[in-house]
Amino acid sequence: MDDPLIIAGKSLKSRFLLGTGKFKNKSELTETILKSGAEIVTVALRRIDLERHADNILAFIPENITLMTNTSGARNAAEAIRIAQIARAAGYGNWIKIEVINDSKYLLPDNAETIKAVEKLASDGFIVLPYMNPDLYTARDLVKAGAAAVMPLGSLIGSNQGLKTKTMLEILIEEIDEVPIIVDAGIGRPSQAAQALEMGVAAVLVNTAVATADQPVLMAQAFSKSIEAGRMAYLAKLASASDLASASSPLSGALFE
Amino acid sequence: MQIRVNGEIRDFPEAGKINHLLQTLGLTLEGIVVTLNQTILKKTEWDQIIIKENDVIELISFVGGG
Amino acid sequence: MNKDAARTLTRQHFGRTIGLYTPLYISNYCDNHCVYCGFHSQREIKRKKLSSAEIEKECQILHASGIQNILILTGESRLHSPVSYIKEAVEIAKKYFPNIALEVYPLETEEYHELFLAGVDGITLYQETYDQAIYQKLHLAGEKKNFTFRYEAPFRMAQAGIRHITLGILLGLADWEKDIQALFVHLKKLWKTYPGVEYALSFPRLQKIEPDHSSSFPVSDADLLNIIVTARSLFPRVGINLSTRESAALRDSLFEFGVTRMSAGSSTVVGGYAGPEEAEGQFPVCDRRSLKEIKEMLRQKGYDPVITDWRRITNESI
Repeated sequence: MDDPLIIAGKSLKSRFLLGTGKFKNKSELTETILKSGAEIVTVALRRIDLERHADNILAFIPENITLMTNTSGARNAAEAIRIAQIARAAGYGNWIKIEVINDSKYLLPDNAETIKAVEKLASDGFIVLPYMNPDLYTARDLVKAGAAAVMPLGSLIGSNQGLKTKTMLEILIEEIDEVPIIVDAGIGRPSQAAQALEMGVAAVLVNTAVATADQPVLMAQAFSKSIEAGRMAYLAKLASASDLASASSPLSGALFE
Repeated sequence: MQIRVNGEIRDFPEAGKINHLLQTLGLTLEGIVVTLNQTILKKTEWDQIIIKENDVIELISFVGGG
Repeated sequence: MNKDAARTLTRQHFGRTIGLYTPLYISNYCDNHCVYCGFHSQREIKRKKLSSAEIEKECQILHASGIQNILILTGESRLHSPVSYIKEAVEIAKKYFPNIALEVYPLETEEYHELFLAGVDGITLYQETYDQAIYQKLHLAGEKKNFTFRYEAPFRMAQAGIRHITLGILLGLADWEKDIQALFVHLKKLWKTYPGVEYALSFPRLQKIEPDHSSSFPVSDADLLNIIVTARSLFPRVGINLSTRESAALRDSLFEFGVTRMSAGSSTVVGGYAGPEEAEGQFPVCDRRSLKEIKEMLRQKGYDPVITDWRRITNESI
């Protein structure tokens, strides 16, 4: 079935974006990415730790994967812009996940600063996917500013609480049709990922739930299947839920008339 | 002479270039970004620019992230 | 959705309130030839255009009756009722009414903006029918022949800052199911592009205007209820208008299922409030109840008649 996910003109088969943080074994990362089917993974930028010669994470990311560098660490638009520029200078493409967080308690994104960062970076030719607190006005502004997608949180980063923001996500799904909606943060179980896809989001980004699982490779596979299932259910147009019972076999022609 | 690398003061021979610094530190040249006094350097500049006394250098690379 | 669910949904979003307004026709000069209309250019009727003093008189009378929402209407003639004339009427009306709406011919964005700054809060514009073939057959002459200019007018209104926009069709001109669908599409497009505007729908039913035109697409009372319920279920927050083309009995029985605004104490005659109604109105008013009577009816049914819910302080340029 031809149902590609299109982001910034790039055609993707997988609706599973994978984060690479919090993995206990980098060596597991490669197989996890492969088994997930993800075509886009996120990475971050940090000062090199000159004491420990840690292996460069790039060595563990398979060849054809699109790298999306997040601007983690940025507390305002200016810092996010700077990180994006540094990322581009590394020579691995210009896909950037804007993450502007000035809140160490909840790790909630600053929507206003995010809009500013998108405005500047999109006009400088970056492919920008902003992480946001689901808000319709912000989503509209991000689209206007040139975002290639919008990435509303499902629940707080790392909380594994699923789609706490469901009502707001439904509004975005209803109103934002210019760019894909990718739920990012808080998805803790494959069933939650399936739920998101059933609702009509274009894709999900998952990190903690896979990286911190006992068996990340197996968990990645589980997510991959659930994301596919959710999407298929969405395409098949789910039956509407009803308070009233409705027998699956029609009453006429009953056996004992 | 003294320079600052990733926040730490280090000794570095005069007229050295970025390439030398990376080699000295045992770093692979892949996936690294260098900033010199706030300016992001192009890779082509690594064996051209001469490091001076009190230069502030940041060596940045990719790590896992969500 | 069934009608009881529509009633519940309407109450949920609007409370048990009905907004009341009165139309004020200030000119019946018209350059269009719309075969179904009482004012069309080929009809030999007494043409009248109110002077400032006459407009003021009408306003005073309506104001005294308790009305606070006024809908100023003109026939469609740039020659006889230019924008400057409309603006002047708005300036006069501003002295008497906190809320002013207009139903005039389609304008350019700058003209809508000028009227917005002058104090216009809402504008109503009927596409009449979205069936372009029938539209051309019904509109034989004049600017109104330009379907697209009319269709795009609400977008210009929204861009100009107008806060309330009412869209509508005249039921009975064409296949109502198709027309209502097209009306919904028009509304959706507007709402998507200009989400900050408050929208309302109006779908009066055509009456016969002998011998010119009678409807080959009759719309029954049940159809009308169906339309109201469907509109409410698809657009929980859209306003729905029910005009005095309908009888008192029908309005009273239908309004709970989705209506949010009704006209009261209506005359469709130019200068019809000051003088006796000798001249012909745009359409015969079926529900002739006064504002007082409508308010009483609403109260009896447990509704709160809202005379105004919006008091402009200033329409500032955006």
